[in-house]
Amino acid sequence: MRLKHLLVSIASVLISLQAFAAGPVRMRLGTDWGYSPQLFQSFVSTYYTRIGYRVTEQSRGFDYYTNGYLLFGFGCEVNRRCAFYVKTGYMGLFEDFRVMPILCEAQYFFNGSKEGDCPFVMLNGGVALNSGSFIDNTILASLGGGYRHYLSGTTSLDIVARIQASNCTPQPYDKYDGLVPRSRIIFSNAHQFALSLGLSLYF
Amino acid sequence: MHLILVLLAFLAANPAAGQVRIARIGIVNSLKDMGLAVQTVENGSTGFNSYSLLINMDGVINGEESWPGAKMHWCHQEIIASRDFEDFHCFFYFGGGASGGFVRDFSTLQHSNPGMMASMTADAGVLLRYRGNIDIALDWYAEIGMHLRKDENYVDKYNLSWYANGLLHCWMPCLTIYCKF
Repeated sequence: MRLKHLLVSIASVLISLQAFAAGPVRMRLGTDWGYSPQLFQSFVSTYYTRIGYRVTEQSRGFDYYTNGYLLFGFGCEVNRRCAFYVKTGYMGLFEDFRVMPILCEAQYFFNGSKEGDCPFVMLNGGVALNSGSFIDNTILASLGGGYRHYLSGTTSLDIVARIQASNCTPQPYDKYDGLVPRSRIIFSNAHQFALSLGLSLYF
Repeated sequence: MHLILVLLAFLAANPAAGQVRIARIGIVNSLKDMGLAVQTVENGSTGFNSYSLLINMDGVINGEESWPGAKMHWCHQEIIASRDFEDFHCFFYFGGGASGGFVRDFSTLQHSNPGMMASMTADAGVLLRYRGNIDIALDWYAEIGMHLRKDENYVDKYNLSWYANGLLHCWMPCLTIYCKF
């Protein structure tokens, strides 16, 4: 139900943008992919072990872990400088934690997106499903920039670099019990920062 | 570094090296392999050769493994049809070649099974040539070969088997973004 509300909201925003746009809106469809290694992670959790002990674990620091992402996007360029997209796909956040994000993204083009190659900045944010559910309360946001090269009048290739932050409540891993079930978790919270470098191809 | 040297030596050893020129250098993007590609053309020929240095992403994409395999891929491709559109030229091609490297293979056992692989490849795809200096190739390739590895259960023994991933992953498209010269 929560996913349904989210999708309806996103569709409403896109339709509203189209209604308020001054000129013709160009709808675009494409894909994003790239390399997004985790650089920093903070994790705090409190849980009961199988035999009833209360355990609190905390870790914080620089932690490199290889990750990537593959997203499919749909959106519109509302004028020469602004574009809005909805993106979803497959993304790794940290070790053994891969999600299906649902992101809203705004892009601003410095020289006007329909005039040719130009640099841009982008901001996106959203939520993510893990194993088909929102139970981990994963939220994501990223800020970055890139350069758009038009291959033709309707096809563009972007090179994008961005910093990504995420927050979620993952299940902790106990060295004796394994993955701790949610019924025994009192508190769990993780922050993660990643640096991402990727490409986008939009039609 | 050794693989790069071998690749360059392979390029230099081409019998028609005097007439061959590097036409494009690109980045290979796929769920199965990622890496760098060099495309050469020969004067008067309708085909081209692609040489790729790839990292094999089997097990890495789904988080089961933390390090990828590596392989080299060569393919001779012939253009079989072309079509002009308003914004780009479209070339359909197919070809064959060889690949080899150190990769994992499909296994029903819960063990990692990296080993040496050597195979023949068949390749088909489309090259989109744009006005600027960027071209895009979308292709599919299958690999039929052998995989030599240490036995998953008995460390002192070796196993030689068909390289199953070469066929199991042939449906995955491979998008190469080329910068042309």
